[in-house]
Amino acid sequence: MTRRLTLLACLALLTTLGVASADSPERTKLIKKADAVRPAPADFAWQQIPWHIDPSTALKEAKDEERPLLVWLAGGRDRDGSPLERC
Amino acid sequence: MELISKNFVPVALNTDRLAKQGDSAFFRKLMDQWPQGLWVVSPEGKTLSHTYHKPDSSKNYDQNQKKWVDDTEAMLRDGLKAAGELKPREARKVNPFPDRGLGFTKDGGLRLSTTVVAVRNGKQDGPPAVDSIVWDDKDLASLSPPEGKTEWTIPESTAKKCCTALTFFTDSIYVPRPSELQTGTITAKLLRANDDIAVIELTGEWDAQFDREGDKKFPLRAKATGMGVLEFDTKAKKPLSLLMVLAGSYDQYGRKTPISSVIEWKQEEPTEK
Repeated sequence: MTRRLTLLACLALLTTLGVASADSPERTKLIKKADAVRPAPADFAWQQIPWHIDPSTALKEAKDEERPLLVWLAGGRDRDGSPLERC
Repeated sequence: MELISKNFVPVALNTDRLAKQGDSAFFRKLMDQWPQGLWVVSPEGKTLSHTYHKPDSSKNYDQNQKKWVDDTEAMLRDGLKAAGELKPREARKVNPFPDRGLGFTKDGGLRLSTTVVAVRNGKQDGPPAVDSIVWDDKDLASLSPPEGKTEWTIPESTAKKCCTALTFFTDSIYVPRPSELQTGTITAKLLRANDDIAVIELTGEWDAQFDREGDKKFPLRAKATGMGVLEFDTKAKKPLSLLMVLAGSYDQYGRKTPISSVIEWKQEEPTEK
């Protein structure tokens, strides 16, 4: 009996969570539209590289590991951002 | 990618936001050699190899892309050779932008994730542009349904920040700044509100006629319309999710290319900080 009640309580909780996190029908419909024009996963492969965006952290890591840095410098147009996006 | 991840400590820096003092000076010194590009540098500051890609006008896009990749790989191998023997590393990948498209920024705003692609025959044509739109707490406040209204306009200044979603070019010289948009509007319509959750329809329009780096010889035009859905917690007065899909065109010196963009964000907390 106790086990059954626990199971029911779990199911009720899962149902509640499911309802709370469910997308609206409008959002679900738009997700399908977005999926059609979202870039392919292969386009994000470069995100698997362990990039740093903080100069001090990168330099410390290179010194600690005694290995070279790969430095990507971009900019020159007085814009915020990062080379990993646009700057 | 493995060549980079296993051997180097990779760092990507914006030269315009690089401090003059401290550890940033180490990286600023490289700019004395060339203003931008890729370097392999020892931790002591010795340049082991360098490359900077400049498209060759006698080559087409694909040829230039191939040359870029080939030159980069050659530069990495040269750097590796100059560094001597290195034990392969197992670096843990840390998301440099954990709040991109997810959760709230430290100052209570949002960092919307954007992807833009050129479209040919209804499909992605070429690599995407990946970027963000940062909305601060004031932008955020404008998303909240106003008392007694079911339709309202998001401030123009907020809508114009979507400028990064208007071109597939990854080079920022082709991206209009908010001030270069003649049109930037988002209107919101409350579809329904149940259990403290409001579902809001967003409709947007953007138009920017501008010149590449202000040079009238290089006219550009970015134009798009978009539909979106905003789910909003009316009790907490905070958004739960936002998704917009844009369709439009990008005109580079008279050559028009259809584009599609996706702007998205969810409130779920980032898993990495």
